[in-house]
Amino acid sequence: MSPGLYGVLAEFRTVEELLAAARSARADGYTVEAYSPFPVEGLGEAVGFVGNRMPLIIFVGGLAGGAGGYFMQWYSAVVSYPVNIGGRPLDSWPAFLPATVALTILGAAVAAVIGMLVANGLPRLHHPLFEIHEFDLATRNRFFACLRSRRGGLDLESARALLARCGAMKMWEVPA
Amino acid sequence: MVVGTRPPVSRDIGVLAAGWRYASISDKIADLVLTRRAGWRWWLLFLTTLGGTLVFFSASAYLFAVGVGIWGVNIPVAWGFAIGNFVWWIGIGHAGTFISAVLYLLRQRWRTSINRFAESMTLFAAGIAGLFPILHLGRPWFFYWLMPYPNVMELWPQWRSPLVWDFFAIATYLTVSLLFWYVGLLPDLATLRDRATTRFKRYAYGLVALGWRGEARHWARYEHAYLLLAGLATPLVVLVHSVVSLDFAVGNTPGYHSTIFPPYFVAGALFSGFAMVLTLAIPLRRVFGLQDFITARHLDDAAKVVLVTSWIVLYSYAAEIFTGFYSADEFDVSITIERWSGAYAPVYWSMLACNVALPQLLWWRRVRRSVPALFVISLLVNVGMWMERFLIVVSSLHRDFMPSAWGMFYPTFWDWVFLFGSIAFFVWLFLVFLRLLPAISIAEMRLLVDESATEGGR
Amino acid sequence: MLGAPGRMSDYDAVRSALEGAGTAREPAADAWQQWLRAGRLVGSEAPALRLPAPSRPKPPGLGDERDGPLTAIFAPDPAVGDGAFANNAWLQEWPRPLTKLTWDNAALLAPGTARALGIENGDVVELSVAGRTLRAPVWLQPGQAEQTVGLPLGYGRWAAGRVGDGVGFNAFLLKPPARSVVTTTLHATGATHAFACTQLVDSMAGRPLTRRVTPDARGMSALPETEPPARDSLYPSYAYPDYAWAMSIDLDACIGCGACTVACQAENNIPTVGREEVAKGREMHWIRVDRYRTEAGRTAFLPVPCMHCENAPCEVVCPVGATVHDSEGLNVQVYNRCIGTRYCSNNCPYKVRRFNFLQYANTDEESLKAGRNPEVTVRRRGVMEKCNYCLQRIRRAGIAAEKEGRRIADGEVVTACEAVCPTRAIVFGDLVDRESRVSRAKASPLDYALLGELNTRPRTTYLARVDNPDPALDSDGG
Repeated sequence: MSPGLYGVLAEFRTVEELLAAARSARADGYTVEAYSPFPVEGLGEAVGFVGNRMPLIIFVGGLAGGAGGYFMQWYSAVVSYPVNIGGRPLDSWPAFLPATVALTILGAAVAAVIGMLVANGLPRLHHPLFEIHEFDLATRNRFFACLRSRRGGLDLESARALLARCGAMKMWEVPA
Repeated sequence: MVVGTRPPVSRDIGVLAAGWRYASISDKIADLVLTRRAGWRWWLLFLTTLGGTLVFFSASAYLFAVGVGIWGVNIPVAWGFAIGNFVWWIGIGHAGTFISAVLYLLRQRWRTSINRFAESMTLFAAGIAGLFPILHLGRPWFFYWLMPYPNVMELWPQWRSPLVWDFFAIATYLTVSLLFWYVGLLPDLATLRDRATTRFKRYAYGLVALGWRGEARHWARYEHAYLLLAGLATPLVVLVHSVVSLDFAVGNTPGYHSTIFPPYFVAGALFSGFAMVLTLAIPLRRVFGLQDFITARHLDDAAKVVLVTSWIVLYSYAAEIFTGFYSADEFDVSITIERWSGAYAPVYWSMLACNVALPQLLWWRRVRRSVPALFVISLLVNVGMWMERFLIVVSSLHRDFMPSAWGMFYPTFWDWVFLFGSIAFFVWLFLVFLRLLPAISIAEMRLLVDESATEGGR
Repeated sequence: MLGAPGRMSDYDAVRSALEGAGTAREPAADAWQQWLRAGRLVGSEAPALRLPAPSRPKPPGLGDERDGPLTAIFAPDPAVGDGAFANNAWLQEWPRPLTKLTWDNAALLAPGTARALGIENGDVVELSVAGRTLRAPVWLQPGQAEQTVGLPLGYGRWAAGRVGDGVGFNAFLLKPPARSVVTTTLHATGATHAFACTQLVDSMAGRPLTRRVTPDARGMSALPETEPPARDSLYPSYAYPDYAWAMSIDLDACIGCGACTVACQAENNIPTVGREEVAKGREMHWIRVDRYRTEAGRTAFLPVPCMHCENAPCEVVCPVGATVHDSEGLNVQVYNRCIGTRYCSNNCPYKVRRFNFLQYANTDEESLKAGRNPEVTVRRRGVMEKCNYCLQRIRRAGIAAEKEGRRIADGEVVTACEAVCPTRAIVFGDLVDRESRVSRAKASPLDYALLGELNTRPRTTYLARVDNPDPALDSDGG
């Protein structure tokens, strides 16, 4: 990739064009980013996205919430401040379950959202693509593909040619 | 080599009218927020409810200054309207998460255009519900003692109390609902940012959109997180109202102490929640011209849910009566008969009329398709559910074990101020939401346009 | 002679002498038992004198005639006497033993008389005696003689002070000098009056709250075996090795006077709340005396303080641990931890908890400060309170005992209610001491726990009342 260049951006009208462009660019050895105004089935695979770690992050979050929650209750009621409450045992484990369940869900949900944002590199309030005025349509009705780099170096001419072949309406060289 | 060079146009699939494209549907919904001017009706309602909201908060200040003695609560009826209102609001706050999470997992398409405003309704209702237990405290400024936090006295919450469970369940519910709602909003906030007409709006929406661009990898993680959030919110819907019901069921008071309570409360919550969805959807679609998105089919489906849950509620009433007599426990029998014929019997029979008799009209398709009828029924169902909450809280307490301690609860002026004030606050929040955020999920509607076009083409 | 073989024991000597003498005929097989029970040699008594029936003069108006004139009976009020105590808020707020009214007097009418007159509870009537009239609200009082109006004196004062001025009506306005019983007429005015009554229901609703037994043929008294056996708990019990404080209340001795209520109020800095608050059901008394009426028309009293349940339902539901058990088995209330959820009160089957709905304790009035017990916290608004077995007295005795290196002796801790009880119905003490008065009281076959079927294991228990009715005097026959 030439220095100072973010990538070559192309605008498409339909999902099918974007999918086709992403697939052929990837087949040609490009690193592709694809932008759509709604989640498109198969687009992730088309740009080569594998190894989604979201389930693991969420599982760990839930486990931490639940185990931490139970431990907190047990520690406070048995170790830190034991007191006879209505003749019930100090470790009244059945009564500790509702809060444990709630904290499990809380831990998992917080992990899901924070994990998703961090893995996506968000929040990122400014981005080179936002400099392209028409990119606003990526959240409305248009589909964009951006060729970032290619094995052996990005050649602007061939990148533009590939995108044009796929039906790009318009193309930009986006500065980094 | 390229197929489909024209962007798709929606076909009529019941839950979406024909003729909508990505662009037109985005603009329609986004412009309700960005460019449409508020009409006089909105302003009138806004100012009225703002007044009510101010009354609500002034009354709260007065309450903090003087004490809960301004209400009609006493010994034995130590819980009154505040707890009834709390249960009522948290019940209303259940439909939103049910719609967005459970119907999402079940792939119910009629969820798409109603989930956003239903989730907002949930947030506002659950938030208001969360205020009531705090307002109701004798010393509300110490409400945070229910939270575990480091302190030099090494004091902790008392974990065996259902109120602590409640605190955790509701705090979790509010947090998860907020996260779920916000994650769902992210792509739409980006749309608003990119369509904003003024610099201020562009920056404001840009800040909360967190730089969302709709990249394919982002969408992949997003969808995963959203799906799992829906999976987490689903048990939470059941958990929260079950725990709320345990506030009562764990107690030994006859009329509280019943194992039917958790499912009974969850069903009642959905019942009142869907009624509130109808109450809000009907004026919303009319005022903002959203009949193409919130169609007769949506109203019909929501009405069916109301009908089904009314039968579950009826079953719960019957089960409560049956177990009361079957147990042969003199206290249970006595409170059951007291409900039918005692001081609060008129409330009981009105409740049955609203919650059991009236919803049976929804068997008729003509009623389900009649917007005015649905609106009236949904309002009365909510009145009925409020009466149910009142009865559970008050009528059980006013006659428990010791006849010498039996008493009566009479609501005071301030009791009513807090009930109607909270309703005004709820409507006000909803009106503000309508002006600031898209009432319908734009990204999901675009997907629906895509799906309807593909399906119609088959 | 002492201890000589063949000599009769004293017992045998007395028994054979009595069985051989005094009666004409051969005694029955169980005669000895009958004599012992009766305390005399049955059949040896002189024949009863046959006297003519007494001819007593009939009191005016005290008959069964329904249409005759009413008789007004003036009497000092149980709380304020002739009015001398009218400015005492403790007494004004003290529920009158039979009516359970506070902050008021009332024209007391029998229900039957009121029905005949078409008058209901709370109706304001106008009474006339010799041209003088008085407006008074009516309270229906079962047990009041038919055709009479009870008029408690001591109210309607205008110079009693800030508390007593303007409370009730002044029955002295009708009372002729030197006479307490006069004929009166009465008619309804159409107005009504709201009383501040602390007990709205007279019936026990068929629940065995106060118990009453009659001696059986052997002269023994015990509760019938209807008690459910004490249920085992899922959980192991806590041990109380040092002290286990407990109370026993003898319903046979209790006369329902309610002195305990006021003594407790004085000891524990319990505020008075005033008429409006009592009418809302917010009186603060830590020990109340319930007054029930049985189907047979009897009045049954039941003093109810905190039961100090070992399996306390109130403690389990408190979210902040403001009510907990101490090592001596007291159910203690931690005022400065309480946030006022009132959940404990809901879950208390005995409804003995009291809540400061408003700022009831007057902390500004200088004259009240000196009257307070310095060993007891003055509670602020928004916290729950209840009987704590006079914890301050237990601590004081404990400190004294510790200084001398001994245990607290039985009778060393006397609660305020126990100290004031004129009939010694209340006994307080330590259950670890098997010989303490309270241990011995609880060993009685008459001992029962209120609502024992809830398995709350109360430390306060009751001794059932023993009635030995004479069928000739007592129409309900027990």
